[in-house]
Amino acid sequence: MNINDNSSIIVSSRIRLARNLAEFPFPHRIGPKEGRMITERVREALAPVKNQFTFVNMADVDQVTKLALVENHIISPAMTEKKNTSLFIQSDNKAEILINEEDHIRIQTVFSGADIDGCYSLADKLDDLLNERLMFAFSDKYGYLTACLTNTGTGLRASFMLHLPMLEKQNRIKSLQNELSRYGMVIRGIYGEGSEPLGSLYQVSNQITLGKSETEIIDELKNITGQIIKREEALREKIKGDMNFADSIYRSLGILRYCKKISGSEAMGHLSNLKLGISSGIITGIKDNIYNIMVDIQSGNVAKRAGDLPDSDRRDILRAEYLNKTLK
Amino acid sequence: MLCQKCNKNPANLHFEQNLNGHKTEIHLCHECAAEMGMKAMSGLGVDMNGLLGGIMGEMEGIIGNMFGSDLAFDSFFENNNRLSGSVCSECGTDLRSLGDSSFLGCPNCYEAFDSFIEKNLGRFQRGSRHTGKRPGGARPIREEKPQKKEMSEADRLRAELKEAIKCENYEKAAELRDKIRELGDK
Ligand SMILES: [Zn+2]
Ligand SMILES: [Zn+2]
Repeated sequence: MNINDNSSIIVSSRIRLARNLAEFPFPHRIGPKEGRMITERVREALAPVKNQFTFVNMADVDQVTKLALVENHIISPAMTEKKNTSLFIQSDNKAEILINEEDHIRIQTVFSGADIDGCYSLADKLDDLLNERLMFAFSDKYGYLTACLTNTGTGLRASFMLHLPMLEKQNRIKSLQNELSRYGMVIRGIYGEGSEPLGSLYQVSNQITLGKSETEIIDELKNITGQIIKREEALREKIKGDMNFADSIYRSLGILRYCKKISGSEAMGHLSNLKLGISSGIITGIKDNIYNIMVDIQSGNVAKRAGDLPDSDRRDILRAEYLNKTLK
Repeated sequence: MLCQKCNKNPANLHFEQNLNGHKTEIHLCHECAAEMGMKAMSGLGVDMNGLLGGIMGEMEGIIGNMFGSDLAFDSFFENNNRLSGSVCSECGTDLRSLGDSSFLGCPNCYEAFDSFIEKNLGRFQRGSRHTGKRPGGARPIREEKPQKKEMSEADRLRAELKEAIKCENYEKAAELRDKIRELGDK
C-alpha cells in the first residue's frame, strides 16, 4: 500500500525496534561493567558491517553535541541523562543503533519522505544481523521483551513526521489526537515543549506494539496518515488564490532573507510558512529542504556550528546570518 | 459496598488477584484508587517532563494506575504477606517496586509476574499475544488472522455502535457505521 502525498506533507519516515539481551537485566538495573559488556556484544555482532558504522560513546560527547543530536532526532532527550549509553551511527545517516537507552538495543532508521517500507526493511535486516550473534529476550507469548510494557511484543514504533500548518491553524490537532487514540495511535508536536509546537511539525506513531504484526501496525499507520494528509490538503485547497495567504508567505520569506536577528521560535513559524508556500506552488525556485533548515537553526546546531557557546543574543544573530545565506 | 480504604464512598472499582490459589479481592472508590495510582506515578523517569511530554505522560499514567491497584493491595494486605511469592528470582524486583517505577527489572520478570502482566496488559496493548516477527527472521505462520485477535478494531466499533443505538445516539451510530464500512473496504 502506498500513500498519496502530492504536497510533501510527509517530512520523514521512521522505524524503531526495541531489543534486549536475554542474559542481562534491563538498562535501568545495570552498572557500568554490564553496560560495557552489552556494548561490546553489539560491536561484535556488527563486525560484518563494521565499516558502515561509527561508534560514539555518550560519556565522551559534550553537551552542545548532545543537544544537537537531540535536535536531529538521533537520540531522545532522556538518553542525554542516562548512564552507560552509546550509539553506532551508519555512515549515510539512515540508521542508528542505540545502546542502553531504555532497552539494551534500539535499532532506528529514518528516511526522508514517505518510505516507511524502506525504513522497516533496513531495520529488519539489521535486526536479523544482530540476532545472528546475539540472544534476544523473547517469549512466545509476549514477543520481544522490553523494559517497559508499552513496547513489548514487536518492539516496533513506526512513525511519520508530518507538516500540518493548516490543521494546526484550524485548531484541529486536539480532535485528531482523540480520534487517533481510538485506533491505538498518537500524534504529538515535535519541536517546542508543552502545548505550543513549533514549525507545525507533528509525529504520528503507533502506541500498540503487542497483538498486531509488524505489517498490520505499519499498514494502519499508513492508512491513518493518508486520511490526515487528505484533510490537510482539503484545507490548503480552500485558501488557494487567497491574496492574504500569498501575502503572509512572501512576508515570511522576506523576514527570513533579510532579518538581522531572529529567535528560534519566530524562525520556525516563518520556515513553516515558507514550506507551505513552496508545496502550494506559491513560491518557486527554492530547492532547499526546509525541514533540514529547521533542524539547522535549533540552538544546539547553531552553537555546534559556532564552535563555542554563544549566548542567546548571539545565537539569534548567527541564526539570522545562516537563514539569510541559505535562502538567498 | 463501601470503599475499603476510606469506608465512606461506595466502592465502584474492584480488583482481584489470584495468588497460590487464594483469590484476594479489594474494593475501592474512584478517589482512593486514583490516590494509589498517583502514588505509583510519582516515581516515573525523566521522559515525563522532557520533550516527549503529554502523550508519554498519559501512557505512563495508565501504567501508574494499573500498578497503583497493586500498591493498594500491598498496603492493604501487608500483614498477610500474601505477595511474598511475587519476586523475580533473577533481579529481585517485586510487585511493589514495579509499582514504584512502572518498569520491569529483567526479561525474567515477565515470567515471574506473568499472571499479573497478562491480566493488566489489555489496558494499554490490544490483546496479550505476540503475533509478529520471531527471532531468526522467521515470520509467524498465521500472520493474517484478524479473527484470532481478542478484539479487532471492527469488533470494537461494533460494540460501540450497539451502545450508541441503545442510548439512542443516532448521530454517533451513523458515524460509527461509516467507520465500520471503511474498515471492511480496506
Ligand atoms: Zn475510598
Ligand atoms: Zn527480573
